[in-house]
Amino acid sequence: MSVPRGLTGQAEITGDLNLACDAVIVGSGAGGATVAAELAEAGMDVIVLEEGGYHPTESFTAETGRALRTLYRDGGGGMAIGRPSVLYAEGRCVGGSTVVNGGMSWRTPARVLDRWAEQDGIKAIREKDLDPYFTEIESRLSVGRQDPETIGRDSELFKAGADAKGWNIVPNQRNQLHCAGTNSCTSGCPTGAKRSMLVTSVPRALSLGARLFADCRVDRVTRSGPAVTGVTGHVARPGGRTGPKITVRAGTVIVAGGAIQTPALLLRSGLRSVSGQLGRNLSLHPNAMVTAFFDEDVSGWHGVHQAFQIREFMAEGLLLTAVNLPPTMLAGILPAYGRELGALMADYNRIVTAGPLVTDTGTGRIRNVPGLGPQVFYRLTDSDAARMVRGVELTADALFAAGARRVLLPFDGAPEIRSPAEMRRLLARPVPKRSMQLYSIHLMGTARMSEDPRRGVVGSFGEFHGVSGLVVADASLFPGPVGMNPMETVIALAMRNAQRLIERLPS
Amino acid sequence: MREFGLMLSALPPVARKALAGALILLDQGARLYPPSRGRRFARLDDRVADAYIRALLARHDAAAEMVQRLKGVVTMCYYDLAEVQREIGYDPAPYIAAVSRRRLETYGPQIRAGEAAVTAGQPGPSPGPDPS
Repeated sequence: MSVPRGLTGQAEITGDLNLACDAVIVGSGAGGATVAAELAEAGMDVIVLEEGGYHPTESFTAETGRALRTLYRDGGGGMAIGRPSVLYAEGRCVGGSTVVNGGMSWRTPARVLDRWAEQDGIKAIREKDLDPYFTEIESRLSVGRQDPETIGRDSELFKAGADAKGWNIVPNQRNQLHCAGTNSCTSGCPTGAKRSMLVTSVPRALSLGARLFADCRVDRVTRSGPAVTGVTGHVARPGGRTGPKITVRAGTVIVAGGAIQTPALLLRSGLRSVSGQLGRNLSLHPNAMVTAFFDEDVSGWHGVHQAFQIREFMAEGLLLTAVNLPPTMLAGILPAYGRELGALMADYNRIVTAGPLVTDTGTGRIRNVPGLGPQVFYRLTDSDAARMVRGVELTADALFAAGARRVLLPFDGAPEIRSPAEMRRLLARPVPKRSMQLYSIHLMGTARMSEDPRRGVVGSFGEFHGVSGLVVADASLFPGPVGMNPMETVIALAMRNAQRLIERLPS
Repeated sequence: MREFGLMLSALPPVARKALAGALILLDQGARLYPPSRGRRFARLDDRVADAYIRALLARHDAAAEMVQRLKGVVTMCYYDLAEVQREIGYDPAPYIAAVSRRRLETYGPQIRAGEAAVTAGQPGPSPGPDPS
């Protein structure tokens, strides 16, 4: 395995590290890698510390178990505790969650940006302000529609269902350079076609002189009075063993560990927000999976991970998508056990999985629990639960319209459904929240922006209120949910925050 | 078992212990389920084992959540086995090889140009006048 110049893994670190630089960046995902490349381009001496390992494109296969063990935090099995609990996944590797996401790349809706500007007084955040960033990102990451030969049968059926219902369905914009349609997005793209940070901003930052240390966990942000002085951490050895210590001295610290790890790090560093919002305000776009069985061979793994989105119900906060899941993941979420599960899985190639993503109104919080580390707590509101049920119903409607013979709903104890009428009868009764099987891959909002320190944790450009030199650059920044795939918003905000830092550098 | 061991090794120590504890609880807890007649879960026939799991799930409490989590890990490991995947008609490696070849044959020059552009990026746009 060839390792790029400037990248150091745990095996090469044999003793304590004492480093100094202009800016140290925690995390190498959508936010961290973007900031690293921008600052390095401006001539700053940049160090990136990434807790996960370096796994290059040539190491990626369709083996889901391998991916879960090496590319995800805690094997992909995070859980936001609540009724119901929500399973979530975070990437933990060089490139962060962009290595394992579906590669959907959408601009932040103007109405969301307007709300952020109006409610929190955030500066330079409206559509006209962010458009130049979006244009730049889409050029750098080759954002565009799929080549037609890569659209799988599951996506075609999903679209046929939406078309039959007369609903607005749009082809996905994805950061991909002629995606082959291997359907391996969540295991790491084996061709490198998905333009994750691993193959774009990370190599760009390294080529511009940034240094990246993989397998390095940051424990604390250090301060002297109201100004940051750097970070301390340790090398993460295989098997969870703790390796040598790391100390990085820097006048600028950029935290980009994602909406769970970022507030957790800041809280355990003793930082507090006047607003009390640090670690709170978590949104997670809860989603659920409807499983539909068709008479024909669908082989949903022959084609891109996700090709279309139903936008018909966006005003209600519902986005519907079809996503093929490998058997390893599907078996874990099907609401069946033992022989029943085996019988369902025997029909794997006749299955289409699809579901709603809800723009949530409820919030959760992150707490550092001694001995357990960061724990996530989340409350699904009654109105969000009602929208989840409606989203599931609409998804199943589309799948029946496409010819599905039977459908499994993501509610524990719900019987198999064979027609829309049968579904209506079932859903006429209340669906208990606790029976819902919910998932999330979009975690946002735990260090929210606001110009008012009594409302937010950071200012308009990610600068932590009351602490000099500390900047946040990930989805923690969002004042609320964006209602669609958040990656492009994260990158745009990170690029914008980096440019603001650069403009303030002494000339 | 190898897959299960590998998955356990990816978990933090606390989660590893919790999972092991949950497995023991599930196994020994079956003795308290009347139809099991004092047998542990591993000794139950399919019918009683299925009923035991359903009874736990119907409680919608911590025990139900534990069963769901365990099921997730165990089935994940089982369906990660290549022979099990082949049985249900999932064999992605040859497919990936074929479409990867097709991609290079069809779009080779554009792909090479796109990859070369990565390290030739320009600085990002400015956020405008400093409001402070």
